[in-house]
Amino acid sequence: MRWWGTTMGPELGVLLSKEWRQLLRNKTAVATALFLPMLVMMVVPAMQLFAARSGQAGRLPPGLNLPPALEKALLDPYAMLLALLPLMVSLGGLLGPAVTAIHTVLAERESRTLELLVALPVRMGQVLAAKLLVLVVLNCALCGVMLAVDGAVLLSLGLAGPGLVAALFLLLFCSTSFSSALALLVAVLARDQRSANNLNGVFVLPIILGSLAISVGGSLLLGSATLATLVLAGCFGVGGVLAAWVASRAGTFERLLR
Amino acid sequence: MVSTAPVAPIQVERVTKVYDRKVRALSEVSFALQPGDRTCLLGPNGAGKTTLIRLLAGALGPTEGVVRLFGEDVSGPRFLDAKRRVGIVPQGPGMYRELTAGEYLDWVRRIYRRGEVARVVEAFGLGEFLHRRMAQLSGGTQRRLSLAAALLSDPELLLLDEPTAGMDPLVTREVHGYLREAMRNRTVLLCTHNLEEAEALGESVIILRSGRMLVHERIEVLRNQSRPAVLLRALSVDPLLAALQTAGIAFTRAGDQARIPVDAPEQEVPPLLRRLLGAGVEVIECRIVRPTLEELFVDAVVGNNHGP
Repeated sequence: MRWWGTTMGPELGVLLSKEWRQLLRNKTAVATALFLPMLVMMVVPAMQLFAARSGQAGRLPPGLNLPPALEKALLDPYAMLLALLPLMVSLGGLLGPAVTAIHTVLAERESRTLELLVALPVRMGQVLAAKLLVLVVLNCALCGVMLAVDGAVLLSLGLAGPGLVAALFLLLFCSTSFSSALALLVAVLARDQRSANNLNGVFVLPIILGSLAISVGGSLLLGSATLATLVLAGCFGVGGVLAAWVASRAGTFERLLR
Repeated sequence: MVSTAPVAPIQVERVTKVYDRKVRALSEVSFALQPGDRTCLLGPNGAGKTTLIRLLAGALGPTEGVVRLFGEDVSGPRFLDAKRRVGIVPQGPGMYRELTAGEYLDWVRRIYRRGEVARVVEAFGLGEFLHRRMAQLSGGTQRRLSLAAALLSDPELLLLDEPTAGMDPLVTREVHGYLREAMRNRTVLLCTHNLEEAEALGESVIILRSGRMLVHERIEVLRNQSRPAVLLRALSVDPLLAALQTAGIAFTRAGDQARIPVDAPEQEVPPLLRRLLGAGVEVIECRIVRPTLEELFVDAVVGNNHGP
């Protein structure tokens, strides 16, 4: 509770305004936050939808059979779209903020602006919390617009109900929070931006594979994309809280000043 | 009975700092600054000056001992309240590329929850730079901005970590002018390499070497404790040196002058001059000098070289 009290002090709001201003003026950060999520949340689902509507989906080369549990994807042309949608939303949350999160922490150290923060009456935990909140808000806002378009299309075509769309928004928030917190933790522990990006890549790859398993397995095997989405959101939510807590403990001025 | 004695702005008690369980940056350093003290923190490279400033800023935690600002332990829950009474000028900080000088000062004011931006802008001549990005300012202006940010909240204690390091002489002179104003009626700890700066701005010194505190004393007291010297110059230096040698007087040569340590100049110098003139030495200058801070510093650091 003491940690919560000292981190959530009035300084947090002031630090948020600084981070927000810096992030929005950093065109590279905004472009990074837009590009990959746009690819996975707009382009890929659009292509899948186009393939399903044109009858191209579910066609396999002659002699190639899917395992029995996945045969539903052949019978229902929209099944694979719905099965992969939680994964795509997860990717939108995972890929967007990670690079920016690492940059915002390590740039403070490498350009020696950390010295300015050390001089002020703020705690490093508050600095990290401000960076985390700004990244989550920015990524959720940008990806939220894309997801709103996806959701509107799914609802208008009758492919998904409001429950699944709401669950996808929750998943976007949780995956963004997890990714941002993990990247901040990695940035706190790493020596420089290159090693931080490499280390983050090592963590993210198995997470993507796990997300694929839950997304496709949950949707096709359990028959509920909503359930798969909620399970994924729960995993990311727990992981995000854990990563944020560890980052706030490990993220001290002493560590970053070395 | 409640004590009404003012709380010492800085208290450092038996502080040791060890990095990574290997590098001992500070060993059992203890001192306190009272309100209004203007103290210079001196020491060769690697003496532990910046470590000490960072400990006082709460950026580092001591391995052993206690560091307090206005009575609050740096690891305590109310340390930020104490830090709001402190202005810190860091050593060569970076500047944000995305923020203007004006935005930065306003942001600092909101962090401290007090202060008047217009006052420091005027005091440090920053008016024309308010809309420039911080990283685009010249070195001297960046240093003025750091000083303005540190003084914005009208702090009681000022921690200055080499505020003129890397500055050319003109900018250094300009910054000294601002510092003199800023240091008035404040407790100040000025960490510097520049002994002239320390002599001009400080009243007392703390000298560190290899993480140990060698001296904490008023400059005046140090001067009074050390021996004065008489500086002699003659038309030709060789006869002067020869005469001193013949008379068995200990001296050191300083260019074309001879430096002779004396205990009581008023008693010792007149017979010395009579003796030299009697020996045919044409003395053209005779000056009594007190040791400079540089000499006191060298004495303290080199004289303690046998230490660990």
